[in-house]
Amino acid sequence: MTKSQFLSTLILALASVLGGWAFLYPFFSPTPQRPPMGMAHTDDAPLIFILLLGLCLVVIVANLETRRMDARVVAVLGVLVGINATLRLVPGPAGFSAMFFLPILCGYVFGADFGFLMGALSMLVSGIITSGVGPWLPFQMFAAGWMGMASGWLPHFSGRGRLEVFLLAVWGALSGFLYGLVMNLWFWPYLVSPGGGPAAGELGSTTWEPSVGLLQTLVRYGLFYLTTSLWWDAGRAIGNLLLLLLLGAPVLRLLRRFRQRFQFSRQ
Amino acid sequence: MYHPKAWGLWLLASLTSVVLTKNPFYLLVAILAVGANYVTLGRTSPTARQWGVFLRIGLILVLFSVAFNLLFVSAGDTLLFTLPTLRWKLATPLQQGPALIQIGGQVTLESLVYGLTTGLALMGVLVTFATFNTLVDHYQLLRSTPAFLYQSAIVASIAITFVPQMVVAQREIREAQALRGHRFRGVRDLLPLFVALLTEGLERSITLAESMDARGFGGQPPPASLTGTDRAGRSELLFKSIIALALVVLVSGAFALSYFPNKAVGGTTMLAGGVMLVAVLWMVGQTVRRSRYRRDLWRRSDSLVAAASITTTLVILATWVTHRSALIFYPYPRLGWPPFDPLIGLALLLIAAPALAGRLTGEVAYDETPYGY
Repeated sequence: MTKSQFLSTLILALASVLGGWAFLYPFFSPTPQRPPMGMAHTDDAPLIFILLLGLCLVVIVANLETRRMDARVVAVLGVLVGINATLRLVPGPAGFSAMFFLPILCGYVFGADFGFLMGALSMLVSGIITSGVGPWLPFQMFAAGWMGMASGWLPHFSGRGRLEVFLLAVWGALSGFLYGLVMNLWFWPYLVSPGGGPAAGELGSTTWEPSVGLLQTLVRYGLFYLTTSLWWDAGRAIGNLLLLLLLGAPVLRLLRRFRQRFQFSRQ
Repeated sequence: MYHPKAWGLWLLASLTSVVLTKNPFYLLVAILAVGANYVTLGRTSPTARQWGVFLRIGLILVLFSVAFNLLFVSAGDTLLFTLPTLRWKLATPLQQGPALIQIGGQVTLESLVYGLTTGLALMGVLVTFATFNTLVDHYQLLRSTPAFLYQSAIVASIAITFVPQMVVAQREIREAQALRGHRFRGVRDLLPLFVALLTEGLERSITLAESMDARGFGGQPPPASLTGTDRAGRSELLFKSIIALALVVLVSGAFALSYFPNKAVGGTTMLAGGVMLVAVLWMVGQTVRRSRYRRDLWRRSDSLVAAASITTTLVILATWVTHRSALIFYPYPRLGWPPFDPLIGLALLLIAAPALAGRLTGEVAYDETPYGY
């Protein structure tokens, strides 16, 4: 590993840690803060976390770019991001979204870097075309980018036919839940009723309270997740599973054929 | 129309205003000022139809926010009426008693006002982005992304260009399939459609890559520079080291913020790291040389818009830092009259600058279509 590659990996790791901290902040915060219910991150946190995540994204994307994208990678990435962004318009029940299976397959075939850029940029572009740009965008970009990146780290089972597609589908379902688990974190700490109301103390058992300890916070979050978000995320997970089972094999074949035509090299 | 950098500053000003204020009066002024830009500039834009859609989504969000607050929050002194109460019991491990989720009960005026204010803030964010989307040319905007991100900007602009092409391609594939007697019946028929679409897209990307190569895209230095043997390689190593160092400073600041109750130490460290990171990224951008086919002109009206936007941002930020309570109206426990400072109101009115600046300098013709169609 050259010095430059080492530094790139270090930058990627540090920026990911920092982005993860921005997500997981409620689990570590020592100071009490209880902003009123409503729009998440309403108090002093919003801009800081959004700016921090934006900065981390810029660093990661710029860092991945210095690994020398040539015209072919730029063109393929652009077209795939365009297709994937349009898939967001496909309607579906609950948390279902058709825009996750392609980053998973592309990350798996073209590598982790490609997967991250594909996930993050798809969220950006679909945000632009559906006017879904908002304070949640950096969180979405990070979560989808991580999903694509992790898909690139999966062990490769090429040539195993059905088993490969089945494993990818299981990973798709799992990552559908993980995406929801991570994305809830940006508003969960702020789902607290304003003090004094009869609901405040009782509802408190699944919502965030400062300084109750890490374990207790984790238990509460788990409870919150099981009672509310799980059913929503199930739509996404099942959607990923079905789409990957249905489209996995032909799309994998297609992507591999084009990788050969493009002579992608993994650096 | 205005320079994308002027629009960027305008976006910053209006977003700061609608995100940092939680006062119905200020929010209304900001939303009206944003809307004035659309009314004077945006109606001839090809995407003008979308604006009404955003407005409707915003109204739905306001209604949702009001209903949510009325149903779930019973705090506040001014009782309007009482609804039947629904409660769920949840068995909870590691808890003293069962958890309760309550809907209904006392409906208060305070929760109504709070819901309306929150809804207005969401509406403000939506209207801002809707106006920005309608008035700004995305390609022009992507052309002015920082130099070190130019490749991602190209990826994004390819993707945005490709979306309408894909809609056309999709229709063509469906037509071809229909001609062969294939009818679209269920989910299973997605497979031939999607795979054909993906193939079509990837084929196009090959053509695109060839034409980009033919026009000299990239022009990268030989790979030898990566090993650090020449100047470019050394400066890249230097930049990467500084970026990594800045990230270490940021991470340690985050650690301090999480474990020490005193926020000043961690906050200052993080600010220092952030400034360092932005500075080094700017320096990296200076090393990238880009040639431009079409230059964006910076005119006097752009300076006016930029000055107005910077003023608004500074006034709002300064108020937020010095006395935050002036911007945030909190109706609980008993509803009072929201405060209104005319100075802040004036600063918010400056958001309407794009509607006026071009007319003042006579540089923007108002019947001109922004995209050059």
